[in-house]
Amino acid sequence: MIISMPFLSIWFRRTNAMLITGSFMLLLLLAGSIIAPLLFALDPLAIDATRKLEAPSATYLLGTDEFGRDTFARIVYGAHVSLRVAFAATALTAVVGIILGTVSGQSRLADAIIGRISDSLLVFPGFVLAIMILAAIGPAEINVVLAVFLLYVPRVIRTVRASVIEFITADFVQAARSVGIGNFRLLAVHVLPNATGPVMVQLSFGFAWAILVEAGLSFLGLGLPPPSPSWGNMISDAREFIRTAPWLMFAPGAMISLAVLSLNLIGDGLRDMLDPRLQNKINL
Amino acid sequence: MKHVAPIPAESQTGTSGSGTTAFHGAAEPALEIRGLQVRFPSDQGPVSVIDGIDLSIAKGEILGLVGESGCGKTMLARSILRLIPPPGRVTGGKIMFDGVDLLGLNHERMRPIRGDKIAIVLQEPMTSLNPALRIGDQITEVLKAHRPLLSQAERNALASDLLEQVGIQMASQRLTQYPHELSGGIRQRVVIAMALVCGDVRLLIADEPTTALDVTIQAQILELFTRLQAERRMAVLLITHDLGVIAQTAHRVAVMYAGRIVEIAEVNQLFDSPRHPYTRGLLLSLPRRGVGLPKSQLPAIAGSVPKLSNLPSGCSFYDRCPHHLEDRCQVSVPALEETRPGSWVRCHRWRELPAFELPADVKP
Amino acid sequence: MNSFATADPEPILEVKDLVKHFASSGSWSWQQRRKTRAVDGISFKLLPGSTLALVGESGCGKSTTAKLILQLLEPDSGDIRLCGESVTKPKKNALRRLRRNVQMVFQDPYASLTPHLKIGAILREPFLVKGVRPRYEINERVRFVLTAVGLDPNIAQRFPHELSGGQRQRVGIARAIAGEPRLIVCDEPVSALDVSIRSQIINLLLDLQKSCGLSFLFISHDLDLVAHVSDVVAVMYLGKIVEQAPAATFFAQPRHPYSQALLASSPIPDPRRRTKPAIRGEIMAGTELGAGCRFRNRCPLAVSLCAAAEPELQTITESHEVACHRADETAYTHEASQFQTHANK
Ligand SMILES: Nc1ncnc2c1ncn2[C@@H]1O[C@H](COP(=O)(O)OP(=O)(O)OP(=O)(O)O)[C@@H](O)[C@H]1O
Ligand code: SF4
Ligand code: SF4
Ligand SMILES: [Mg+2]
Repeated sequence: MIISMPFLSIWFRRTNAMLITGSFMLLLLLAGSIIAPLLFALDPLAIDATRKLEAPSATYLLGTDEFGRDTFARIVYGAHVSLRVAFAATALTAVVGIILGTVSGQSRLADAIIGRISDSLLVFPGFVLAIMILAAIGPAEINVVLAVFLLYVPRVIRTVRASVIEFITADFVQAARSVGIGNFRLLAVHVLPNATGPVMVQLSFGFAWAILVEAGLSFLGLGLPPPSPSWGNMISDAREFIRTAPWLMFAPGAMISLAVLSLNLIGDGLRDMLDPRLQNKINL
Repeated sequence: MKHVAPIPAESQTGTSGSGTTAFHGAAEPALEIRGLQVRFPSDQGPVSVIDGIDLSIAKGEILGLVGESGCGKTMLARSILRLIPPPGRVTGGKIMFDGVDLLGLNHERMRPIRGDKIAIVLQEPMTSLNPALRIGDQITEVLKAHRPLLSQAERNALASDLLEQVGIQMASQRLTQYPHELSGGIRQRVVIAMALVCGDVRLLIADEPTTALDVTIQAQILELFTRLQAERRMAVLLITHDLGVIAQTAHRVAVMYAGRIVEIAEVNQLFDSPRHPYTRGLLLSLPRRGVGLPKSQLPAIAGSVPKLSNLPSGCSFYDRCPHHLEDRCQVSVPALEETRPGSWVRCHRWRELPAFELPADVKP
Repeated sequence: MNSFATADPEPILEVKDLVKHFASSGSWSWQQRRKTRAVDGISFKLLPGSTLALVGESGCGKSTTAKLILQLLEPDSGDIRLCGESVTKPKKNALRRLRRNVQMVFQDPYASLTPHLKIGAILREPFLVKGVRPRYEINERVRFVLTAVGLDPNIAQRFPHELSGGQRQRVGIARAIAGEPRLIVCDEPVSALDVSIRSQIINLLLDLQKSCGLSFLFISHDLDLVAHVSDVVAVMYLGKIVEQAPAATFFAQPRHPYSQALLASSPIPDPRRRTKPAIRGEIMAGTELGAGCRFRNRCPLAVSLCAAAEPELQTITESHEVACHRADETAYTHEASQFQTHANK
């Protein structure tokens, strides 16, 4: 008998600390970026030429930039942009990754083709490849999404493929097959749910990574075209004023760190939660 | 097969006390466990996976330990080697070996005992061997640790000598092979050889050593065990759930149920007249060639093994026991009582139970 | 109806010259590619309501045979007939229908239930496949099969990890009988269970066999258990059947040297009857097989003929078949050796 359950729940409690903190931070971020525009009259593009580069005050919580735009408003709307890009890229990655991963795990031919292509994508350092892609197809929100997707999808494919290969021969799948279940239901109901954990881990890291890449690309001027209030653009613009108006750099930088940190915490939390299930069985 | 005579009854009469503090053992114990308790934390508070075990193994004796998986057999073996996986902890008791309490030793002083004086053989031979090392290198590696003064040539000679002792042919050739190139039976022989590297192993713990093997191979490995044991006068703790293996190899048998020992007896005694209702249930439920009608219902033990976190109060076998009495068995945990010299049972009603009888043989 | 028809009732299952080889894994170079002859031309029949036990060393091809019969693997050659119809060259619809006649109970009750599905969901599947509708009708039948295997129907609400090993195996059996098959393949159905639970599950299987007229293909290495449950015993060695006989005959008079060795070395739970290792050595590697008898490297009776020619299965007495060149010399000579036991002297 394996009396894993009581110990498991202890593990859950311990590792959930990371998961809970991460999710809480992310929720706060999301909620803030949704609620703030409802509470305050915020316009990220409104220019107040009389109040340029002002320090944080009661009217402008985070001060203003060189055109006299409200930094707080731009941070809030920047959250929309960054999270939208990251979310779109992650969703696309998930859908395509799961489908291609499943196909790879099932057919040798497909595996050879898909495997070659994803390997060649993985050869380049991710960010360099992103720059190359965007330099080729030009800066635009949808192109950033595409670049992030292309960079991250091989990892998801690999993860799903590994799970499919592992579980397709498992006893419970053979048992379901011998009852007469068709291939589609077999995969959807019996095989793929086993990949949920590892895929979620991958995706949460992917999400964090998407935010970083978007910021990095915008910083280099390859991301969203100005005057879009993306966090990357804001940092890029703030470079000149790092001495005179450091809050301009600090605010978006902190937001990026916060968002990335929260998602990494979620990813780590998920991973730790899943690992002991496989390893910490205490066989008495 | 060299069948080693059971230990004479007088050598087994312990310095008997009363109740749970009794000492159930032999005159010359190689290992003596007293009041051992191992606990794991859980949602419902600490769970005792081993709850007050008293056991001793005489020099030159094979003590069989039977019980279902999860009843604590492996934890018992691991606590002797001080290898309880965290978050489990030994929370009480003594394990006396060579005049010292193993539970009181620090890691520095424990290390030379492990492998040197006490060795262990596990169920799955593959997990005990390093897949990346040749057999010869693995054995000489162990020799290096325990016999640092030998030269490499001496080590190699000793390694091939050891393989021959465990019945491996063409030993020198085998030394250059990797574990995956060997069959299960030969791997298990290699593991046994490695366990015995040090020459003066006094206690060999074998945890389900043949469960992963085929019967024809199992018979060979068991024969090897009994031969080595007799040659070296080792004490052996043989853990298994297979009553057939126990009957064929052990001198004395301890039966465990849910973290406690419920019966100890000399092997013939245990199989001829088991006292505990659990032991009786097990022996009755075994299908046997030539006993009982084919395709007839087997006398089964009702219910299932209780969770350690949720044991019945009083006797742990209460729910499943056909002889249970509400006003006695549920009230207190029965003590391990001596029923005759060398035989002990943990049951309130052992005096009242009818004599044990197997169904008569059916001659085909 | 078919060419195999005899006076006997029509067999539920008939296997003819079944072959399945696997490419050995691990070797990349083409020259080194060898084949594992997992199943190498076996034939047997299984009659309605009876049990055929398949015994033998691990890796001798028992599970592969089971998977072939369940069409979880495709045979290289040979024929499998279920209820008289061939399933090896099937049309899709016919296959679906035939497939329902055979189900399987797996060895490991921990691995054979999908961990993230509730018991109810697992047991609804066979009914869904059968086309039972609507949902309450399915649920009603799930309750029925749960009761039939001695479980509380409320267990449908639970996940597999909340059940004990015995309960899980009962669920596995419930799933197998849900499709109302005529044949159940039991691959070591109790060897992963707690000792004190095994007899319950065996009793359940025997019970179901009696009440539903099921046939079993029973794979096990426990000869005492096989003696208890089976009508016919077939011994496999390295992909071949080397002996086949009615159970009573087999246990009283095994004739293949390997069968005799198996019986002699399986440990008897009685310290007064000693068993002993009857043969030395291990099974031959695939590369050494050559033309002769596959057992010759361990056989105490091997002669030069054994290395030259592979013995064919031959009938020695009514329905008792043995594949050994020296089969006429292997009969036990006195009754005491009936169980190949050696009383303590
Ligand atoms: N999918 C596979 N690929 C390659 N080889 C395989 C595969 N399945 C089985 N084999 C090999 O075929 C042989 C027969 O295997 P099988 O599982 O049928 O044995 P078995 O008699 O059921 O053994 P056990 O008693 O251990 O369950 C073995 O050598 C095994 O390694
Ligand atoms: S103490 Fe009672 S319940 Fe326990 S085994 Fe004895 S008779 Fe049965
Ligand atoms: S054919 Fe020869 S080697 Fe094979 S079992 Fe018979 S006697 Fe032994
Ligand atoms: Mg098998």
